[in-house]
Amino acid sequence: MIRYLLRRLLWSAATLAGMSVVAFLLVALAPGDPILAELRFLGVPAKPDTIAALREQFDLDAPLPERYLRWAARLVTMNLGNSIASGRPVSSELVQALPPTLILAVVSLALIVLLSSVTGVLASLYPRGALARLLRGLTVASVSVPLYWLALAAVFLGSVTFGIGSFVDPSSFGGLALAATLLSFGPGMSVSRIVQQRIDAERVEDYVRLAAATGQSPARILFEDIGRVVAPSLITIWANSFGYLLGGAVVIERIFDRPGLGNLALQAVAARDYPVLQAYLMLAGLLFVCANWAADALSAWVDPRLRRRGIHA
Amino acid sequence: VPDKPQRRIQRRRAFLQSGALSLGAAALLSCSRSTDSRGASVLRVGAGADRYNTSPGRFTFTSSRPNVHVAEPPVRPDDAFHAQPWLFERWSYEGRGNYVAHLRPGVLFHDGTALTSDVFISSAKRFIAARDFIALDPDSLRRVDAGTVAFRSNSGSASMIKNMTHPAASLFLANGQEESMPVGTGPYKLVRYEPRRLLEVERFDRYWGPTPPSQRVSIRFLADPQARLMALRAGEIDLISDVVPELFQGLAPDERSVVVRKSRPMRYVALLCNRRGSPPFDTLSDIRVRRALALAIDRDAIASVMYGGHAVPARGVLPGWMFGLGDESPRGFDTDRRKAASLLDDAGWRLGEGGIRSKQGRALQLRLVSAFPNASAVKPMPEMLEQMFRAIGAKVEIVEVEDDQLYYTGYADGGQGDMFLEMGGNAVADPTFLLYNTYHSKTPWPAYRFSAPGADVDDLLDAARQQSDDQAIISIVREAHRRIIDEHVSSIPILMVPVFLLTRPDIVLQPFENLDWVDFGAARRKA
Repeated sequence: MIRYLLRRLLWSAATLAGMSVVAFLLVALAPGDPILAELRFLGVPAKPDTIAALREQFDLDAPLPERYLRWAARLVTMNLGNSIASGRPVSSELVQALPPTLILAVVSLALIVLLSSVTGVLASLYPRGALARLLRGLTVASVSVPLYWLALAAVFLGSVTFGIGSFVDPSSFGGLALAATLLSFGPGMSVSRIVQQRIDAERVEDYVRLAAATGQSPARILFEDIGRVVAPSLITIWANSFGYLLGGAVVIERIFDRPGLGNLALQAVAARDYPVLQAYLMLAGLLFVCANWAADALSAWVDPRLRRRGIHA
Repeated sequence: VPDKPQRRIQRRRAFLQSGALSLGAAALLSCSRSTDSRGASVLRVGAGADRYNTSPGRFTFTSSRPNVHVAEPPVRPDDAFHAQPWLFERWSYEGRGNYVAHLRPGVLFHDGTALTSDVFISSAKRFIAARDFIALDPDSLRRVDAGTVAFRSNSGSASMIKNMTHPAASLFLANGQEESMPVGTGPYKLVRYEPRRLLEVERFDRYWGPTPPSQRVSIRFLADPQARLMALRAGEIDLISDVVPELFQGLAPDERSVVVRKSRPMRYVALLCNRRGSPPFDTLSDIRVRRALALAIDRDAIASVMYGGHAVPARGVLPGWMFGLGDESPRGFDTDRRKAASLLDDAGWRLGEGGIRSKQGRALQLRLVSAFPNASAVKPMPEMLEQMFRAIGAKVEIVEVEDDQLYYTGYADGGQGDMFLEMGGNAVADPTFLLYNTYHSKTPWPAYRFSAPGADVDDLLDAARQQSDDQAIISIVREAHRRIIDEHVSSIPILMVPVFLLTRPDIVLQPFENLDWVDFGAARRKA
């Protein structure tokens, strides 16, 4: 198992190296000049030599390959430089922004697992009738309604109409619960369809019929026999939804005034804050890779066949 | 005695019940905390995204919007935007860009340090001289006596004191702590800052000026405008700044929980004409076409639709009340489509098929780039203009850009359009500030070189910057403004727009003209 996990770790490192090139180029080749953006925001003109000095300070005057190598070297030593827009060290910006996003993402991930499991199992057990129609309707609605609109509507009902807690206070339990529910609703309902399909596919297998013939209870067959078979693939899907959560956090954090990575990234885009944007992309990639690595480890622990396949592949 | 399975069930039930109780308690605590803050005597402000910068040279922490008056500039603008004494009690211009200023006695920084000439010099070197546009020569700062300083403009400008009304000239104590806890002389001292989330200031009891009414001001950075409005409606904050036009669409005419507060109309919305573009963006090099477009606009119709009807038709890019410029000059443009059509006929643009004019086989098609600061700020003005220009035979291609960086680098800086829709204003008490930076041929912003009128306006603006007499400066600015609009039609003025705040009905605000100068600390609840 350790060899399998080490192999996955090596792949993750290679993925991150590739991502660093993409993150750097995506930001560096986007139109806009961060120095002029900042000066224009201040509404005051600057002399050409002041602009040139600022460009040099932020390494914007060198050719692209040289800039990438310097940036990558600093990245390895965790020297992420200073934000152009705020002047504060990028590392401190990320350290401040990471906890609110992680809390939101982890709570949302737990809700996705819960929501998709419960609704998936219910949809499989009761494929016809009002419940099935309701679940199908909810699934369609979850992917059709834009998250931004849904969040505004929920805040309006929750905070303005019914006054359930503070949504502008990030420490508010009600705000976190509402934000996590909204963020997990779409992926939770989408994954529930996959859960249902996987369970339906397994229920016609011989081992399930054999278990039923030997008198095992339906619940035991579902949770012990079928659950063990479908769990590895579902763990991978749940881990992949972590990437969606990081993206969705951009919208949710903006509406709920959560000072997380999403808010940080949005402001960095507006200000063309290269150091923050590049660091954000790398951190988001790292989180995604870590989530996948953890999912691989969990899947391998649940299903030993995967370890053997991974080793002999 | 319950048996083993029953005990297990009871344990599980107790576990679930305690979990549910904990969740309920947490939710109640969360609600009660917000209720407490509503009842407290704290003024709560919802501002846009946190854009404070703590870098030396670009230091705007607490002094740019939302300006919480932790620090104060040497001079402040009065109702007509003339520089008035503030930390400078008085000053004199000695000629050739030299000044002598007397500091106000009895002014203390929040840590108790007195404002003396030595403290002023070290602070001005670090904060004021770092801003190019103020043009303070740091090496010229000299102590005359304990309360008097002398200094010089590095461009020989006689208007430097006026530029010191800008919040960027705010005076912080140069103590090495300014990046985390800046210390100023203002009515409020900073007590708490969480980047991108929250900033809190508290009344400074030893302030030299009038005591502000609020004990504490709490500013929440709410980047999304709709979220700001909902926080206001929910009573979580008392007032919001950075009011964008889309918020007016969400306000009902009989709205009771939200009140619109506005300044006098002071920000212009205008089309900057590309006079020096390369084909195909060279059509507006002909003044007759520019003038025809200016005459085609029904400003009253746009004013009634835009900004909740609070904007007014504009004659120029500076409001008449500012600096006492008056409303007589420039004259601006009334709607006269017959005359507009006649001007286009004279310019050789003949009506063709589909009502679109053409000249030598080239259709009269113009690209309108919308907008600075962003397309949302002026929506739906481009569509209204398109209809009005269509009425005189000009076809308009609208390019909407939400991102100001893309606006400049993709279009304006390269002259990649015929007209550029912009919203802006004169943010300081220097009457030459806007015209010099936007219409002088040597403007530092590349985009405005395409609309600069030329040598006559350059000469006027240069001359204004050398004058020390206020009336002479204003007279020259008035003439430059007239030439830019009436004579050269370098810009086509459309609307004058107030600065807006939205508040709860029980909040009383002092009048304000510029978002940077909104005195949040002076806001109070009605008795």
